[in-house]
Amino acid sequence: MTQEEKNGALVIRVEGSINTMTSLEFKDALLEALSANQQVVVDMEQTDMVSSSGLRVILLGVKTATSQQKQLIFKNFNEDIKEVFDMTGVGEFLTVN
Amino acid sequence: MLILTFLCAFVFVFAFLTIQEYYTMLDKKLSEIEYVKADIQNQLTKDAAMLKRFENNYKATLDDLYNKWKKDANALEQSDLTVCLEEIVKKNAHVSEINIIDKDGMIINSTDGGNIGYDMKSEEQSSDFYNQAIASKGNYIFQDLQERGRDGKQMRYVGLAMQTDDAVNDIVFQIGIDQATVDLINTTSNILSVAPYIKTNQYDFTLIVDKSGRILSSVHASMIYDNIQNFIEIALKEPSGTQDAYFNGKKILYVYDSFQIPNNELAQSYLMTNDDTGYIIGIVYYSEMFRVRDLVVLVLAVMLPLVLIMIFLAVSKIVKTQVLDGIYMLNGGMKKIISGDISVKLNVDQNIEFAQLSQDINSTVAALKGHIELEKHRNEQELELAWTIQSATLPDYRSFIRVPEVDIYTYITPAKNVGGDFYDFFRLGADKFAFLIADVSGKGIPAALFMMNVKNSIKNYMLQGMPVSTALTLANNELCKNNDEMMFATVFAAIFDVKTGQLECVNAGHTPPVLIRGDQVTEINCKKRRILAALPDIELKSEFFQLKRGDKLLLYTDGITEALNEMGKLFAKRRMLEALQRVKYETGLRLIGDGLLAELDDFVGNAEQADDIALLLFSWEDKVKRIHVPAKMEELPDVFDELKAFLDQTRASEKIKKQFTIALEEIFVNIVSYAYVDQEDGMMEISLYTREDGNKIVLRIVDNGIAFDPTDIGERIQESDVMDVAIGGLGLFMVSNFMDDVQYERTDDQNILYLVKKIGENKNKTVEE
Repeated sequence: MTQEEKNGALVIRVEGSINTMTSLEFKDALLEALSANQQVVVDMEQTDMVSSSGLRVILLGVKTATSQQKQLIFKNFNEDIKEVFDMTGVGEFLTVN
Repeated sequence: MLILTFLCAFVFVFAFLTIQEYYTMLDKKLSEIEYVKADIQNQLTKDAAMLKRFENNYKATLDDLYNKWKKDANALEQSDLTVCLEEIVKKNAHVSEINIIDKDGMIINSTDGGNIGYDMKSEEQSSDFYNQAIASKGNYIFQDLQERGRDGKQMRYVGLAMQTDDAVNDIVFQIGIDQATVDLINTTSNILSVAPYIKTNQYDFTLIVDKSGRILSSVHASMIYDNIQNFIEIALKEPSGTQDAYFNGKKILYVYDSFQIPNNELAQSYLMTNDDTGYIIGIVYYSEMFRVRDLVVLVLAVMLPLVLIMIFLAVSKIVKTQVLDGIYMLNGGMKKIISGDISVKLNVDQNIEFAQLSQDINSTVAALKGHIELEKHRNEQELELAWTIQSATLPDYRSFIRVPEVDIYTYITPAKNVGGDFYDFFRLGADKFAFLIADVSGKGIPAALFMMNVKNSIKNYMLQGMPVSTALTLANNELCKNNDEMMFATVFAAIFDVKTGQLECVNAGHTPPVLIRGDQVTEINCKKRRILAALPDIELKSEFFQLKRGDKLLLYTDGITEALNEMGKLFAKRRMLEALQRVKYETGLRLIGDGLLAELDDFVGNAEQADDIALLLFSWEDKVKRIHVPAKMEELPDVFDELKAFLDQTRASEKIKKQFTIALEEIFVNIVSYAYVDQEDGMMEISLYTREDGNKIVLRIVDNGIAFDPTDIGERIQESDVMDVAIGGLGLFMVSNFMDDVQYERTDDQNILYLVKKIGENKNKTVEE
């Protein structure tokens, strides 16, 4: 997982899957980024898959961003992940670029 | 019938001709007679005139003698008188002799010297003449032609008595006319020529006779004379009519009428009757009378058989072409129809009736065919339904996933919609697996019903945990009861120990199974024992075989080995084993089974399937990945590695691999989080294996934790807070969406979850592009 400033937004790049083993790390990174930045972009180009623990973090992030009036954007996720988003209904809460 | 009709017609024609000809002839003859009657009268009158001349002639001669006697009575005794008499005889050709008789009846002088001295009273004829002459007192007397008393010579006498006052010198003159002379007179008679002209046909003739039967005119006078006397007697009673008689053996018919003879002394004498009646008699031979008829009869008699034969031939020809051929054709068709071939179409069109008849039969058969088809269709539907019901009771190898070490493939097809063959397989507890194949005697519904009994009975006992031998022995006893139909079954049944690889089996009269081990294809030497349901209380001993991982067993029914091809050849065990040799390396049971069946199919060709075919392939899988791990979160990476290693060996796509990974994670996390709440050393067992020749991946997860059915999400909702529901529910929701099948069972205090994914199918219902 890497982070970088880009055009005034924080971009988090996630590699591998967001699952039980990685979700904690992702959660910390996401919440931290949201507290420090007005706009956070999650670049999922390198993300394989998202399990339910991953979804939980994503939903937590969306919830946090909304309450703090921050902008959280997800982009470049693959078809399989899109499927999961759509299937679970999580996609509806996401701001997608 | 025909002949009878013909005979009737013949009799009719015969009778008609007979009557017609009879009356024709009669009419002709009668009209002839009627016609000649006047002619006869005429001729007779002429004859009478002629006879008058003779009469006068004789009278003159007698008068001449009388005058001479008167002049010189004595001279008459003298010789010169004799000379005188001779002269008279010479002068008169119609006089044969002259006799002079005295008062005592003695011939005193004569031109025939032999007569002199003859006593007239000595014979009947002469005394008759003499007495007549004396009694006639000077009148002429005529005597008929007859034998004279003296010597029997045929003579006719005419006489005149000379009576003196003193009667002393009374004398009688007698003129004798001999037969030749009489005949001469007769032949000059006019009547004589009449009869020959009265003629109708060729052989008939006419007689003119007087009352005494003397023939006056005839062609065949002498021939017919004998009959005439008889006839006259009849004719006297009935002066005209017809009368049958026989002449020379031939039947003749008299047609007669009477006529009047002119009143004339000589004529009367000449007609030799004192009556004035004569008869015209037409005589007709029946043979001639019915000549036309007889000709017809003759012609018919000859022609009839010919005509009959021709009619018979013609009729038989007509009957044959019009009737018999039709009947034969109809019969032939009907025979075929009766023997069951209702595809026969009759087309007999000899005539309208047959065309109609064959059409009627056709439409009847068509209607029958329709009904049969309908009935057949209904039967087929019912049988199809029966097979659907029956096959529903057989386990489906496709949904058999719960014993990781055992794979199964089955195939069954009944010869008639429902069958007597069956197979069965089921798990016995955690470690044992039962499978069997059976062939029930008979086919169709009865066999199918009996099969259900056999199947249930065996399964029942096996599920109670008995060894195969006991289960089959008890099943046999049960089946022997109430088996009035004397049905029976051959069964091969086995229980396989998944842990040890031991196979316990009983072969109740069935063909032993085939073992495929590496490149070896051999029959298992399992002793063939008694069949089921035949005899109670038989001993069915178990036998034990040790299998190796990767071993495969083929259980089959004789529908395979006894399948016949079009030439009537058996597929036989030899061909089956050869086929198995060719397909034994196939990667899945289904490929092996279908390979064998394809070879069977090729062999059988278009021949009809005679018997049910069933097979069951069993394998002790050697490619099952089994992982035992503590139910701890930190084990997950290792489990992921194992999963990845397994999935890499399958044909699963990257997406499926991801889905499996997520699914495993969700279940794993669930177990770690909830299964062992009060337990620190909880374990879980994860098995990974494929089914259906690698087309289906099964992930089996077992834990000993608290009972939890992840397929029943609704239950969990009530127990947890909303946030957890959302998240936990989401995980299971994802699992059920990623997988094609999720099964849960609670066995031996274990939660066992099966996740099944078919390869090659992208099953994700919620994706909507």
